[in-house]
Amino acid sequence: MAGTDITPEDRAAIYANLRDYARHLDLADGPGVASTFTRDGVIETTRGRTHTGPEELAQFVADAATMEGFSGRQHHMQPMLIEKTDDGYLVTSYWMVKTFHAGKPPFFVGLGWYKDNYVQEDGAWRCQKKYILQWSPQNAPIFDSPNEWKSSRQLAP
Amino acid sequence: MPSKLSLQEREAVYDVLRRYLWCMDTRDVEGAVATFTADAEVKDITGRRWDAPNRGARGFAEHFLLPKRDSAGQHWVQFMEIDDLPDSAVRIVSYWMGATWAADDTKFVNNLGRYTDTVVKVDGNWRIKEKVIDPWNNETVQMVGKHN
Repeated sequence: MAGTDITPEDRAAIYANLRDYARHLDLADGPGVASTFTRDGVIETTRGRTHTGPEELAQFVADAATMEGFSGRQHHMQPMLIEKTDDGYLVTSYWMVKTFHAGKPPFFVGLGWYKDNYVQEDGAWRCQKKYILQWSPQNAPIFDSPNEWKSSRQLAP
Repeated sequence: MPSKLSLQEREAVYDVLRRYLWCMDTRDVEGAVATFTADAEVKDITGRRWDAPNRGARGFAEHFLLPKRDSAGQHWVQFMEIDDLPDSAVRIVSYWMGATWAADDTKFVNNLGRYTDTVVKVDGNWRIKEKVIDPWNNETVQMVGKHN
């Protein structure tokens, strides 16, 4: 387990991209979300659905925005691991979604984790593939469990 | 006095602390142990000290990770202070919050606390030499850090 070879500037740019994704998503800004991805960028969810390219990514956001209770949500994130790949970095992060419906106490919507492949495109760090996974008892990547295998399978190229 | 660690070294220190959390949350004993020095000690949230007679970090990790649980948890952390110590060691004080997704589908904050980590470089890699885990609530906050 050696340290990751990454400059502070590259790390900061990648973490900024992660935050950009969240703030665009919480504002239901599909093109904004798509702008954080490469032109061939992909989102894959816990259920195995994939969304590829700017139009499908924007549609993913539009569909999410129709979910009951979407408005009022915030995505909070915590980068956990950053690992070098052949052409960039694999970033593993936690996410936590909370929402606030006026007149009621804010509450948790869910916990989860992202696996994001970052590469450079047009001189900027962009996400090429984002796995959005839940940290539920059924899906958390607990070591030496079926969930760990499932997570590995989902991350296969 | 502000730490003299470079930004790159500082992030490398934070990386090993984040990896510790990842391994605890994914219940990876070997991974968690690998974030510590061979002679590391841990004071857990109950006040028990996992020193050499108690098998150190491995005893701590096995005690908390091997029992099966039907919920899933995440540790969220906020690094609060970083100070240089003698012999190129650093001390990092962090807030942490435990979040749980329970088997009945409820999600909630289960705990708040504070870490005090002493981190040293071994063969070019940062490792945790001592981890002190303090509870943080209205009855304990006045005592945090007083009996480490």
